Amino acid sequence: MQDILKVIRFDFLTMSSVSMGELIFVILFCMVLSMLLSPLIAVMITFCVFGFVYPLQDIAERNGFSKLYGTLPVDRRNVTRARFIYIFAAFLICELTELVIAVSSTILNLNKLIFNIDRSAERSREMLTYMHMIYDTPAVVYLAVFAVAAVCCIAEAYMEMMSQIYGRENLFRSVMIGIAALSAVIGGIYLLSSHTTLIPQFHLMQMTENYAAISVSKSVIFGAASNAAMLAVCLVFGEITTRIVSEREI
Amino acid sequence: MVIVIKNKSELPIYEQIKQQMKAQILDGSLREDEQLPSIRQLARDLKISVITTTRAYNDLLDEGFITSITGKGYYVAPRNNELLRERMLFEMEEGLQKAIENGRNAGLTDDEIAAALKKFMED
Amino acid sequence: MENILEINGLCKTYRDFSLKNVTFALPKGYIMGFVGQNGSGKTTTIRSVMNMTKADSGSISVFGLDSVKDSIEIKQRLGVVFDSMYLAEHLTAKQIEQQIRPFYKNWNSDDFFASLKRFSLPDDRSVGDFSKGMKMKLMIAIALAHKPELLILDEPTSGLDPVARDELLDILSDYILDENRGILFSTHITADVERIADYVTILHNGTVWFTGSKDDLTESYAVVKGDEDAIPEGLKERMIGFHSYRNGFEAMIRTEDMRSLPETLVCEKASIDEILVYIAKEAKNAGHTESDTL
Repeated sequence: MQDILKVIRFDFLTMSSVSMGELIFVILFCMVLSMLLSPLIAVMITFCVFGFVYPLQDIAERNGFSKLYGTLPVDRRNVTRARFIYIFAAFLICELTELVIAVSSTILNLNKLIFNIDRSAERSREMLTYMHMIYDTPAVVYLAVFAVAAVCCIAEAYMEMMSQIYGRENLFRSVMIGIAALSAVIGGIYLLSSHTTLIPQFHLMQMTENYAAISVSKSVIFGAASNAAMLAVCLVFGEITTRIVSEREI
Repeated sequence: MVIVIKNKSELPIYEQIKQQMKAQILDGSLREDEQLPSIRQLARDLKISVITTTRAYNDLLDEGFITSITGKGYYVAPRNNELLRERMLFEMEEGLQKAIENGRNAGLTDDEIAAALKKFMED
Repeated sequence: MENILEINGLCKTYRDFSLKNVTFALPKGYIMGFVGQNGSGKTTTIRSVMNMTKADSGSISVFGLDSVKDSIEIKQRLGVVFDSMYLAEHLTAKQIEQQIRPFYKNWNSDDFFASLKRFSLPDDRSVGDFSKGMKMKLMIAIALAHKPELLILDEPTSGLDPVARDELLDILSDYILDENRGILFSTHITADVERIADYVTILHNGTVWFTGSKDDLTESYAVVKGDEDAIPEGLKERMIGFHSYRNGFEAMIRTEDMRSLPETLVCEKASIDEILVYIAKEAKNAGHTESDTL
């Protein structure tokens, strides 16, 4: 465990001088946007985390880190496991940052600032109404933060697993396979749910109408569950990758 | 102690070291009981293998030119050491043999060689 | 004499290359030069010692420990330098020290920064900006900082200018002043071996051609040249890497065979360079005769 922490710290130190500046800039940018369109910050900041994680693989390969891992007195399996826990940690940190921004923009009622946009146009009025609605139910924002973070974290972990097992050149192919598989599963569930009562139907429109029904406590429960899922997926993918990759030659 | 190694010489390096050290011991530039560099330090300074310097020191030890004290290092042997004296005698005899051989090869008679020897002694 | 590194019967087969029964040992307190052509198996052997490659058969022991089972403990006491840098190039030496420090029990930061100073390396510039010689010295500084008992270097001087090479060899010579340490360095620059190695192992095409003290090696072989007709009866078969050309022939022989040579043939002690070349020529000759008989 200690070794894993050392490797995580190592990865973090590798990345921090590269991405920190850009990351902070993007976070500040998103904070400004959050005062206007709160749910979107979830998506934006989450994608910034890619910038914090992705180049790691790039740098590692370019600099021949595999030789370094062979030289350091660390079990190679722990190096792989550490990489996946690092991914989880990165998304967890981004999640918490977003929550802080979302909570503070809600508490400070920053939506007041958007009232100064041109109200005359029809389109902008619709948009304003929508935005107000969202601001009135901050729980939706938190839900969105958890959901997007979980999805992106799992996607990133999947890509990491595939690029370690099949090599970075084959990454796009793996992503395509993943998207295809996921679409098949979701499509399958949707089709099945319209034929059996066992699987509940998902009505997106209904969901938006029920915004008010979502309380903060429900979203917190959802958050705990989604984070548990994120961690579990990262650990599992990590173990799978370890099994396959650590016996290979460097 | 000054040792200079000729890399391209026909003489093996350990022989060169031995010769030069012996010469300096015999002519007094290396004094009695003077401490010598360690085997490793000498190898480091001359940029040669430790095995080579070990061999040179071992030979000099056997021939009585140097002594070793465990834990402290190598020292020039005292000059009244019997072994050293025998060794020096042996060197003299070797030198005389060589001189006679060279003289004969040059075409000198034994008398001429003896005369030359006397002349050198008087100088 | 204790062996700090022992390799016994190491075998590893790849698609178009294999290590066959590699066996040699490095006693404590000495430097071994590991020479051979490019592709002769030096790096593969080193990677096997590091457990970066799994051997098909054979055993390797470092400090008396098994290289596979006790790999991590060995690496705590082992310093390794490869010919290319494997550190994050955008970081400074200071940041890299911070990264690596927690992994080693015996890491001494003061030693590391003292080494940097000795090697005239800045600690606040991106290491990617370093010249090749500086990068190599940095890797050695890192390797030395955790007080290793054995240093393994894979082609440390390749690509370095003569000044940097000389400095590097000085660093290694200082390191080995302690007789409880050892150095194994692989190289195809035989001049380095001739300068500082105590022992030499020659690898040719995946097999050990020679292993022993450097002096034994250089005193065992000589290069002979001259008129082909002057070669005494039966000696030609014992020659290594025989090559005849319009004006004569040249070959390598063992020094025992020197006695039977006539005065008309020129004979000189072989340098390690020449030994490698003649080994390769001999292999080629053998290859030809095989294909002739097919």
